[in-house]
Amino acid sequence: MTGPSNTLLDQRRSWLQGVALALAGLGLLGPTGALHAQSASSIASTTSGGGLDRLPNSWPKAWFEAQSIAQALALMSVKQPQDAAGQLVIQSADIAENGAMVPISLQFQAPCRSVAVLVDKNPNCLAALLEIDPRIPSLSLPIKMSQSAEVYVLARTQAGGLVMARKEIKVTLGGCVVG
Amino acid sequence: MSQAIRIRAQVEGKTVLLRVRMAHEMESGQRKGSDGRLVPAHFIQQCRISLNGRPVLSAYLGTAIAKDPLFTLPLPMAQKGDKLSVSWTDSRGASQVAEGVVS
Repeated sequence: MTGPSNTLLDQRRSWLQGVALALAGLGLLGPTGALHAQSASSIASTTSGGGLDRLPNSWPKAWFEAQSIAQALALMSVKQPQDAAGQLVIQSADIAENGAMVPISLQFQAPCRSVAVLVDKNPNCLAALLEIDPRIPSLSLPIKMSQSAEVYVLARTQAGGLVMARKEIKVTLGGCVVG
Repeated sequence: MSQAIRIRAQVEGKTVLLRVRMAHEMESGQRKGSDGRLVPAHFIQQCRISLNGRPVLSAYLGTAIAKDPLFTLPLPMAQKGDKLSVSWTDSRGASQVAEGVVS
């Protein structure tokens, strides 16, 4: 890698790094600010944030507007995640009375660094994209469910694997309309 | 919207349990108001939790997160006296920041 194009890339890289650091300092950068600042050199090549390797640089509108799990996974460039096989477990009630508030708990049996929470049959499937410190062993958050459906949680483990867990939750009262 | 962010972090055994509640209507854009029209979407899009200035959780959220969401997570690396900060930005560009201490 030599020549003027490389110099340009370096310039862009250091510029991006500078901007990322400046924004992170101001607390203005999106969720992955500090992590990006540490690895700004890779921003240029992975701006899409695909494959859940790292989160996109800004709120990914298209991902959040996906109307099916398949569409969301395709937009996220996720291909053939492995079954979590216990590395990642979704805990929740089997039956939720109110779809407007369904607490779920994610147990990271294997340390994870990024996580996507998706709800099948919701008008917009993607509920959350998270980047976490791999030392965090679990996380609970409340989702909305429009009807009985499967919740999918996809995670990039610290070891680099992409795993997916799912759990069916029955909903007595749908949450998108009342919530 | 009232007090936008409440942080509670307490040592529990060998870990610290953090609870963060972000007061927000988290309007999905799918709900009809009393006038029969859809209530426009209005929800938190980004949030971040930092421990002593380093992010431990960064998130992009969509409309399928419940109203006034409560995030609960253990922080095994945290200790009593550590500083926590939580911030969010919503789909209309409003933002909130709050700070707390592990007790």
